Amino acid sequence: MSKVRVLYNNDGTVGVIHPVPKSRRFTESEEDWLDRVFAKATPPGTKYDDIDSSQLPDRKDRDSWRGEKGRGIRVDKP
Amino acid sequence: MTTALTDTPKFKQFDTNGDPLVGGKLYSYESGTTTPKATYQDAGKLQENTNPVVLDSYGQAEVWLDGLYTLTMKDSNDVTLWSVDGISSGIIETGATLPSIIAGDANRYVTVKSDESGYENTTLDLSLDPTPELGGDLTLGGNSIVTDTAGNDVSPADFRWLSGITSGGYTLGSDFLGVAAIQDDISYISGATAGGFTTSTAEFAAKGNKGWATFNGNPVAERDSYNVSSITDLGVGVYQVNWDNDFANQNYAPIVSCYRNGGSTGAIANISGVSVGSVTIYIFAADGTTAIDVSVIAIKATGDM
Repeated sequence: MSKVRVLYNNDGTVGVIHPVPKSRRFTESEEDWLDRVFAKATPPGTKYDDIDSSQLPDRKDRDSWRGEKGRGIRVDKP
Repeated sequence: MTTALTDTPKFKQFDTNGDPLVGGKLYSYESGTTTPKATYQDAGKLQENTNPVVLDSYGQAEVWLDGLYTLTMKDSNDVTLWSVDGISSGIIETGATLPSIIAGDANRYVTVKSDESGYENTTLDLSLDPTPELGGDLTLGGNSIVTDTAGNDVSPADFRWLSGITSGGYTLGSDFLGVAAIQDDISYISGATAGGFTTSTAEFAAKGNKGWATFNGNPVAERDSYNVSSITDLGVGVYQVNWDNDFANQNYAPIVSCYRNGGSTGAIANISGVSVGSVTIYIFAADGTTAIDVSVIAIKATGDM
């Protein structure tokens, strides 16, 4: 599975950055590529965790995704 | 080496009043020297020009070049109007090795004639690298740049063709500045052993579409794209497409649409935010207020980069 970056917004909601494999440079290591791509899409000051995409919850509950750094994403259904 | 016609069908000069430079004299030398070098009246080099070439009553002459020249233009009274080093015939045949005369020269442009429509005049601009190493293989050192004659993107097709210039393909020095240094493009450089391949936003100028993507809305997954580094899932029906190379300003033109698989009520794709580096997309149900995920979202953007 691929790496994604989970962005933790101040209101508890989360964003998830999905890197596009085609953007990897010919000479870039995977680590360098992800660093570059994640950095570009991460708003300044936003807390985040880099995780494997397999760790993401089922997206049918996307509206209920909440999270905070170090604790990952939880599904916060009423 | 094959000869080439000068840029216009006939070499033509004008005086300061804009009138044809009747009787003007074109002197041709080996590039960077005062050693006379022949030009020709025909592509086959069957007939040499006089040196100087004296322009006719229309201020023009038939001038075919072979290799690199210093050209000096004088009027009929032998007053020098201009003198330019490094003027090239501009054609290197497929399979040919780049001429060694270019090695070590700054401000040189090597034009290769591609057989692919639309890329006939791909140019290697060596002006930023005063000491390119040329031999059996072409080596471009640090800070070299590849561009075409119009300053546009050097396409994958060009690179594919260029790799046929030498037996070993390209060797790129560290910090090579690639106009089209995205993976699609550079993957066509066979034998590349670059120490580092960096993009330049200022130089990045793909023809036509400057960025596009199609991606699944749920789960979020890129299907195909160009100049897109990542897609941020911001919530149900909310996505941010992040460009790999930024646009020059926010006045570019993004267009978005979506495909709702099996849906009979339609969906509305809306752009809610544009920055030089990204576009935020909202997908609404037909009511225009409820955000929904759809099967496929498509975005395309064109503008200055």
